[in-house]
Amino acid sequence: MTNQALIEVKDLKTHFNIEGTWARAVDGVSFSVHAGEVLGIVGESGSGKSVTALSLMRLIPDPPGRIVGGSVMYKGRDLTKLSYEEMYDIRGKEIAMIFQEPMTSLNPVLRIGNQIAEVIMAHEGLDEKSAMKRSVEMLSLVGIPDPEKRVRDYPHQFSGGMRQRVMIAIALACNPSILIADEPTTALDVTIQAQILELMLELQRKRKDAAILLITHDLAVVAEMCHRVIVMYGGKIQETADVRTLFANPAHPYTRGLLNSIPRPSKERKGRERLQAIPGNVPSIMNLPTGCKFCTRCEVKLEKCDTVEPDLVEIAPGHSVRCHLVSEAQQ
Amino acid sequence: MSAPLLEIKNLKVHFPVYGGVFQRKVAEVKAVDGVSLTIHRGETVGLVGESGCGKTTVGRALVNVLKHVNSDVYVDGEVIYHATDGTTTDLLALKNRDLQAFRRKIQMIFQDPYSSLNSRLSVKQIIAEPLEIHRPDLSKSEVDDRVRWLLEKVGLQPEYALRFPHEFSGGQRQRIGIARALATNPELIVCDEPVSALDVSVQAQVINLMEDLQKEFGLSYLFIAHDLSVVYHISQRIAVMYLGNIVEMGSADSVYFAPTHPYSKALLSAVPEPDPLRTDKQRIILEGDIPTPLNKPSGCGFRTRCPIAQDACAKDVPVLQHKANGSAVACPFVT
Repeated sequence: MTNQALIEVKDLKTHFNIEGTWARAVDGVSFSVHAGEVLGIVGESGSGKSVTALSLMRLIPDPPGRIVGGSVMYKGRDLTKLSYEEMYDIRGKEIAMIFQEPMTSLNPVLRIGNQIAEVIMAHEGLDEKSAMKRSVEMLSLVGIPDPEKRVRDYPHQFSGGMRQRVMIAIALACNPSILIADEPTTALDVTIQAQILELMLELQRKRKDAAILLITHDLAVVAEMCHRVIVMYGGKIQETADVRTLFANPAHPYTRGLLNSIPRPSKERKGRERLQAIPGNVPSIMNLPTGCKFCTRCEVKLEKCDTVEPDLVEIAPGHSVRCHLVSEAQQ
Repeated sequence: MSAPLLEIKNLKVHFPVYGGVFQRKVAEVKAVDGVSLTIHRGETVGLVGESGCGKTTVGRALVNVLKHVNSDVYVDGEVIYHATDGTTTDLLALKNRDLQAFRRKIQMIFQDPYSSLNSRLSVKQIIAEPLEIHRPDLSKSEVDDRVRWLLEKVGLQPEYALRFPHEFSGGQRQRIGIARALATNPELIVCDEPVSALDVSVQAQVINLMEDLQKEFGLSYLFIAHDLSVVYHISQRIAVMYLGNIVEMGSADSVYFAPTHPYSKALLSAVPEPDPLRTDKQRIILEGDIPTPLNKPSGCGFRTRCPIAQDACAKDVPVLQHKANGSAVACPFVT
């Protein structure tokens, strides 16, 4: 991992206008993705993790959504200021994305080969024949057997895991520097999930100058895949650290709660162990608390947590936490 | 082990496939193809496997709803209910009218808390519905009391009875679903992926609630899920299914930590671990996808992806062989 930032997100704010009120789905998120790393964003539904990814790609439907502030710097350009035409050159070529639903993210009436070739023709200016040849290469790269024949198949002739491979082939067709994977394995079975994660890691190892932004709710996937992790809750980054620190030394009460609530099979503890659940429910983004976003469910909250939003404070190199309790203990 | 509650013997469920101009039956999907499993009183049996392996169909066969969906479904085998007084009844052989008395003993919790509750009924109506059918002797105020009591049992405020499902979050809806299943005092609850649609931080709440209720009411669970660490946590015994057959069965410890069938081994090695320091794990990556049950391989269903497959595997369907420690495995080439 180098320290050169491929993409730098600063104070990104994406809000949605829902029946006259603005829901702050992403509210002041800053992070950077470095070349050669896998950066994970974990969070539950409504935490803003997917909206962050879509904002990077400028895929927020407007209306109702809008990037209302902040910047996304990529190769000296602010992606939030680019016109839609200029974004065409970035999307798919510089930054590519794969989605959760391999069943719905492919066009059902086009052959697989044409869908891969479409990207290559649009970005590299190749003619159809050579683009199709590249499609075949891409399919074999992502491990689809018999690629010469399969390029002529339609999406319904592929299984879920195979479709996700095709999505990865499309995403990687133009050699992007950043691959954003939004819950890429959530809809898949565990054995297929293992195949897809292995494939992503393998491709990532081949290109040292590229990076993966992996968005997921599954902490186990994060532990296996990522170098650094961002924990989001209520549209804000609550904690960020390298993966080992986060799992060994979680500082934010939410991160600790999340880690405690997943079952960790072990023979000795079987039958005696009770899961430590986080009380309450994930608040709706329509009415988030004014202070700390986690204060409604926090078991160690202070009085001021209700009203004063804590800042994201660096407690150790590369380890930042947004919690009054932690920053007070630091002082 | 405690007394058996439900004994499934050689259960087969085949769905018809229609095709052609006249929509005639052209093929059969052998979703469940000879499953035998015993669930004891107060026990949780985990049923795991990938999508399409038939685990949900087993659950549905137990609550006996398959014939109502499509009368052409072929259901064979026995589901024997053992009453506390020692009498046994084969539920699959019963006529609908006679089945009614047993339906209340086996209830179900569904995966999707958003579609499994009728959005036009209030919470009270949802929970009271099974009582109206199975306990017509109860007066209105008795039903009211029971609904309030059930809501408290699942950790919701009794005042919520007058609200509608859309006012609740996913975890709360799943609690309502559990209250509905509990309404008739069941002995077995078939839980079909009860937590997989919930947020991570809420899953633990629902799992803890299910464990508490089990202790309090002596319930048995058939816990169908694909998340193996959750299944291990809640189950005493685990059965692994592949393409309509159980390939391995045994205590949770033996199946989770010492699987012997090549499929169970691969399945468990694929489970990601929430520990970045564990890099020593040997992962068995299976080639390809699960074959469709429409066109099952001959002999052992797993042989097309099996790392130790031999010629003999194509001949006979391997039977579950019971071992000394109470576990069973359907592969002649492992011990």
